[in-house]
Amino acid sequence: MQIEFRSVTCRIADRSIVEDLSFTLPSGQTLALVGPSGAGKTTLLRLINALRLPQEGEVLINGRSSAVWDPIDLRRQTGYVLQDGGLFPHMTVEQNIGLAPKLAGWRQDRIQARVTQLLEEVQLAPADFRHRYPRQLSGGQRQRVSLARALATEPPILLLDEPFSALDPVTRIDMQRLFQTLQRRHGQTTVLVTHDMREALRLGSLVGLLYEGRMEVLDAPAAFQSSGNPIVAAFLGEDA
Amino acid sequence: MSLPPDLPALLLEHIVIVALSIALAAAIGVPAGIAVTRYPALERWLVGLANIAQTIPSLALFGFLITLPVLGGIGPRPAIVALILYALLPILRNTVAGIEGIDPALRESALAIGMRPSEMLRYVEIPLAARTILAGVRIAAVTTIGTATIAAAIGGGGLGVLIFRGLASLNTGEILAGAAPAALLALLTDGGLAWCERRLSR
Repeated sequence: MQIEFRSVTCRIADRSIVEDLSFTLPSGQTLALVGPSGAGKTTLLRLINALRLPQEGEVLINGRSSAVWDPIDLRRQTGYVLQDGGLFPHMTVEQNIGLAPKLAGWRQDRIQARVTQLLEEVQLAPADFRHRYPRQLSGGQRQRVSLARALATEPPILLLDEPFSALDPVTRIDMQRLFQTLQRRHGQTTVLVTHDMREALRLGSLVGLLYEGRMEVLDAPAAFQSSGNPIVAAFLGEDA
Repeated sequence: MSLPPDLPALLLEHIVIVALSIALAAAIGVPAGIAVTRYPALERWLVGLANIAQTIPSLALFGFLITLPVLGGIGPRPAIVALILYALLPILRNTVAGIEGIDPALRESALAIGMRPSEMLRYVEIPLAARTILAGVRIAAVTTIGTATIAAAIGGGGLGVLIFRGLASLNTGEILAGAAPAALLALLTDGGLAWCERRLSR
């Protein structure tokens, strides 16, 4: 599904968070979004699954404005991964992953088969992990489950808000590889928010720099790096 | 000293009155608490009302109820009405606190998965608030066991019958025969519900 922002402005409590933002993310592409905290990255994600609606302009998902979509329907087409996973602590791994399918009305045996398949995809042994609670998982395992949960109903759109930033460097690289594998296999249109420039350049087919609610640069990784934009240069320099 | 022959029957009556009151108070208080989290304007009214009920001295409240038609009068019915009024506040307050205390990130996670409000209530809010709600029920149950002894003043029955009879005849043994089982019952209930709470707290 294609995602398009047309002159989108979003204010929260009179403060402009996203300002006259326009871009198009073609179906199947991964936009890696970087920018300082407070730049509006999370708000941009929330505009895509209608957790927020723009005050001006429109967000078009598959050509249809987010204000026109039934928000429940739109969110069920969208997988979402939060920094700490956002897993429900009172549900087992199986229940967490099976939740979206259950809400979609899948039969129990189909849900179980899907959970097994997804756990294998995120490289967690199903027999060992399906009955665990989130607190019985390491940070990396939680993010794997969270990723599996987001993919459960094969949504055409995937949104990830700093999914790997709380992980140690080794686990982070593992998760980035896993993400790339899954992304290639499933081909969702993906928006990944990160504060790690190297991660953005590695994972994005497009890299965007959001700065004070505006998209400063949006380009393929190589072109992004050589864009000459002073803010990009500052970001790259800081990271190197 | 021998135990009053009607002790088992009165104890059973006491348990029935308390159990019925708490069940009904929960049946009113939990949905009312959920309503408060949906429509915050209700909070002042409902919590205010429950607060007022709580502040009326219990003996006076039982007295007022005698004059009230339908729900009032004498016997177990007005006693249960009064006990419900007392039990309502802790249950209502804990339901609101339990639901409002849920981590906003989990709420966001539930919304992002595409839950409808009813699904959010069923899969996220009630399970996560269950422990706090149960704690409210526990407080209500323990205090109600004590307050229910006063119900005997308006013919409500229960262990209070022994206490009032003992007071009238200055028979300390009889007072104790009513008071000690009530205290024991309160302790057992507290322990039992605390155990349930721990089971829920995963």
